[in-house]
Formats: sequence, C-alpha cells, structure tokens
Amino acid sequence: MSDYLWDKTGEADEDVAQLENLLGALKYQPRPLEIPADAMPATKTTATTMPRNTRTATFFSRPRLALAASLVLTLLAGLWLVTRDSEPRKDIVAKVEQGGAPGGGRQTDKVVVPNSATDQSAPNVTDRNTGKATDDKTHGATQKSSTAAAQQLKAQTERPRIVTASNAKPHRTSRQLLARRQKLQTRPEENVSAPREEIVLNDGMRLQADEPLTPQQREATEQLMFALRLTSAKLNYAQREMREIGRAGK
Amino acid sequence: MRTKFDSWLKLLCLAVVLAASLATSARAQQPQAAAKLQLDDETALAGRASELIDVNLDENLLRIIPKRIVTKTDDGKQIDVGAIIGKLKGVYVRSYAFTNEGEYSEANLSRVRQQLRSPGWARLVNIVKKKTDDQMHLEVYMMTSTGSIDGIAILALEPKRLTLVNIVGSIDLEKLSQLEGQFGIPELGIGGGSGGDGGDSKSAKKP
Repeated sequence: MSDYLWDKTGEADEDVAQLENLLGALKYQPRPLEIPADAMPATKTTATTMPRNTRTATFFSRPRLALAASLVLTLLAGLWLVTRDSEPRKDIVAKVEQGGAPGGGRQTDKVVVPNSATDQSAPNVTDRNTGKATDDKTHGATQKSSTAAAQQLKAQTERPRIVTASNAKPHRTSRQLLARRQKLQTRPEENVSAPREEIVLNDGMRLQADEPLTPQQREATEQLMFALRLTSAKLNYAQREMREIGRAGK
Repeated sequence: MRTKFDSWLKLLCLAVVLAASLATSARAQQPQAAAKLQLDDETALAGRASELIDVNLDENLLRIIPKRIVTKTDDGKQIDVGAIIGKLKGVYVRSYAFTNEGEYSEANLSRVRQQLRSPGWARLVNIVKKKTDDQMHLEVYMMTSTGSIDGIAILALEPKRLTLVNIVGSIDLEKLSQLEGQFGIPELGIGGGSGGDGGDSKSAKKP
C-alpha cells in the first residue's frame, strides 16, 4: 500500500486518481477577491440613504467632535475666569484691617493672611511705605542661633502670617480688596468735589447735570423737556378727568 | 450629482437660518418702529396756525442729551430725568394754535387716526368735554408688547389748539407724570384747556 493518501508519495490507486480527477475542479485556487460592481457601496452616501446609526456616526465625526469640545472648553474657561474674578478667594485673604504701628507710629494697611504650615518662607510684617521688615524683636534674635531659629519657625507656623499691602505677593484678591477699599475712601471726596452743573432752561426749569451742556445739547434738552412736560400735563389731565368721572359715577 | 445636491442643500439650510435670524431681529425692532407715527403731513394746518410748536427728537438727537440729568421737585424730591429718557427712541410733538375756532377739522387727523388703528395701538383714554368754557377732546393711545410700553400717542383737540404727541420707546408713565408743574415753575396750563395759548411753552416754539 502506497503512502499516496498520506503524503502524495508513491503511486496512486486507480480509484483515488479517478476521484481526484472528478473533484479537482473544486479544489482551492488562490486568486484575488472579486466583488460584483452592483454589490459595491457608493463612494459617498447621503445622510438620508444611510441607516440611522451610520448617520449618527457621521454627524459626530471626529473633527466635529473636536470642534464642539474646544468650544465647550472655551466657554467653560471663560465662565471660570469670570467667576474667579468676581469672587474673592476665601482661603487666602480673610480681611483687610487698618491698624496702628506697634509703637504708636503711623497707621499701616495690613492684609491678614491665615496661617499656612506649608508656606514657611512667607514674609513678616513690613512697613507699607518703606518696605523694610518691622517684625518683633525676636526676629533678629532668631538669626543668631539655630534654637532660636527653630522657635521662630514654630512661632511662624502657629500665628497668622501678617503681610502688609506693599510687600504682599501680587495676588488678585488682595489687590481687588485694596482697590475696592481705595475706591471707597476716594468716592465721597469725588462726590463732594465733582461740581454739579446747574442748568436753567428758557422756561425757568432748573436741571442739574454733571457737565455744562453744549448749545446742541441744550437745544435738544429744552425740546425734550418741553415735550415730556406737555405729555405729562396731558396724562395728568386725563387722570384727573377720569377721577372726576369716577366720583360723579359714585 | 449627489455632491451637487448636497451643496445646494447646505446653501438652502444657510439661507433658512439667515432668513430666520433676520426675521427675528426685524420682529424685535418692529413694535418700536411701528410706534412712530407720521405727523409730517399737516402742512395745511401749519399754514393756518398762528403758532406752531414742532419737536422732532429722533434717537440720534436723544443720544446727545446727557443721561445724567437730575432735577428736584418743589418738595425736594429728586427726579432722575435720565432714567425717564433712557429708553426713548424718539419724541415728536406738533402743537398748532389758531386764532379762531374751527380752523381745523377731523379730516386733518385722518392720516394719524388711520395709523392709530393699526395693530398694536390701543386707545386707553377718550375724554370728550363739551362745555363751552372748557371744550376738550383728549385721546391717549398706547402701543404695548410683551408687557412693556413701546410708544404713546396723544391727541388733544381744543377749539383753538390741536396737539399731537408721539413718544417712541419704553417709558415709565409714573415718573413721567411727575414732570408737570414741578421745578418751581407753574404748570404749562395746556392740559385742561384753560390756558389754550400754551402758557410758557414758547421756549420750544419754532419759527
């Protein structure tokens, strides 16, 4: 018995050769895949002809998604900036206080910053005008010995860090608070100093404006005031008449 | 073919969006534009009138008026005139004074009345006084939309005086009503028909 059926060596039997001839046409023949032209998808399908899930996938394509995401991010960033500017940070600045110098000297504006154990390099009390350090006397002593330095370090971590307005780290919240405070201090003076211009119109009406009127402004104002007073007079007349009619009806 | 159809479809969508936005903006501007009456067709009346008061303040002129104008009433109360005029788009007044009675008729007002019959306008007040010493026919019209006043029109017909007022824009009537007879000066006297010659209104008289 030959090994033809096992490894195609030796002579084949007649029956085997006959079967091979019969079934040989059906054996595997390597060739490229041929797809019929009518079965090929269109090169660019419209959204209406596509199935729903494909349409959704096309609509949320990557460039569009990227664009939408960038827009959303921009909006969120803008919102964050707006809210950040309008709200003072509570964790940094507690209050702005106005206190006298230790020796009864001139007053300095101080921003009291709550203590932060991690921030040990914070400056101490500094005079607002000179910018020189004006901390208590133990500060100088602590420079001499390591023990004293350790004590001072401990003291720094235990008491609130006091930073004056002049040498405070440039921080938006403290700047905002100081600017607001300065505005509050100067506003009454501005109000007092700002002269209110009194304008007497031709018909004797007295008005007050922030600035003197130009001839054109004066002309327009006179016409406007006349028209408004005329309208007011007519409306008041109508109101009075309606009241009288109401009274007469009762 | 299909690509061409797509581009046409996109153009169509763009056109629809543009048309919708234009229609929206036009609709937003429509009420206040409609609140402006055409009062310039009364040349015949102007020829017969012995005195004509003509106030024409459109939006551009209103803008040059400082918005911070304050005045005080006789009892010391402050009135912010700037707040009253802040949202105005136009103020138009025609006031004709005649030497004799009957120098104008209803026919002279037909064009204005036709405009006041258009949608949006509503007559709030119609007072007719037929006493010989105090004849007066006063009509107050108002144009409102979505809870705000877009315009006011007043027609005051007296025997020897005809007054047409048209204010365009949002106005606070309560504040406006405080303006008469304040500021230490007498009332205009043109509301009740008693002072038919306009009192001290000559400041706005135009030649």
